[in-house]
Amino acid sequence: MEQMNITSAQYLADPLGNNLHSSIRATIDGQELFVPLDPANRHYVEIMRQVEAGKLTIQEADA
Amino acid sequence: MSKARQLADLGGVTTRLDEVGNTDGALSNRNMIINGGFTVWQRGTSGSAGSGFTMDSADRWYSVRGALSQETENSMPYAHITHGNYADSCYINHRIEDFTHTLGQQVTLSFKIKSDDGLGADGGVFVRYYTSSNNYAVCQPQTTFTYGSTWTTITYTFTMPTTTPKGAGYGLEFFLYGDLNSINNNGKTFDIKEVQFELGDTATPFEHRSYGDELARCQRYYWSETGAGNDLTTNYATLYSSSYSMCIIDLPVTMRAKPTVSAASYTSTVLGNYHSRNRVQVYLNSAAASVNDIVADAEL
Repeated sequence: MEQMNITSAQYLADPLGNNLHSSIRATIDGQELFVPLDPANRHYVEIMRQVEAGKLTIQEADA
Repeated sequence: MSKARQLADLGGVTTRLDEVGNTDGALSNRNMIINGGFTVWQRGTSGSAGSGFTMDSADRWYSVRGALSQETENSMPYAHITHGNYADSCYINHRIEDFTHTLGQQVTLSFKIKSDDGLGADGGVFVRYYTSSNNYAVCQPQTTFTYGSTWTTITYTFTMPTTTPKGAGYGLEFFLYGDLNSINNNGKTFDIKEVQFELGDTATPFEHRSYGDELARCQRYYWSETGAGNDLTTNYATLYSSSYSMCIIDLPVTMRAKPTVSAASYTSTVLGNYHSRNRVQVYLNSAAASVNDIVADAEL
């Protein structure tokens, strides 16, 4: 599988105030990316794989 | 010989037209490889050699341990791969999204390859797809072939496995090597063009598609405002409340999945993003803001 160097990940809040997450702001291979919460998206799949492997923690959204 | 091949040769057609395309090649849209002619380069025409899967030049093609760049011959582009400084093989990789109709069927992969640097003793090919997160089905085992300094057509016909693929987010993967050996070929190059994968037992002539057709197919996986040839790449947000604004960018083609989004710059802090397969919405912490040079990525 593809290896990605993910150095940070943080949920972004729902700007509409629905108490949901809208996406994940992540730094992947040195680039800031906004990753949707979509299991068909390869960046999301890799983020969750690294989370499950204990290699990455997604920070909660800013209050 | 496939029925499509017979028809392409304009001779010896002994089949009914309504039979064509059932289990072997169709007359058009035969090629399941997108950008097999290397005509679309939204990210630029010169790549760099990275240790992992890198897609930084030709659409739909990853390179591993090699820089993939464009060269032309009679104005027709092709892939020029330069080995990086790695003590392992270098290859390019392509992934097909929807291939379930090929399972259990006879299929044919064909492409043209040459090297100006003396490679060619051990060119290689490998085809697989994932059946779970950690297991894959081998369609065409790693196999070597020989080629030289002029274009050589390589053809493999094989029967696809029947094991169920893992599904969304995983594709049928093609690996094309200039040298399959795990040695350092730093600086040596090989060239590839006209990659085609089709149903049937015979390689038909390469199917040239129009640039617009190929670009639209590529934009299902990647779209860049600048790469698409636009010169208007500032997207102004509209006022959404007294304190923030929302920027909406409609995508030209429905993407494979909700895309990952990046931008060259934002004029205000990003509060949140909602992406559908047709639209990107960016919420910004200012009543007046803009987003510049959007990139949407839904590659496999």
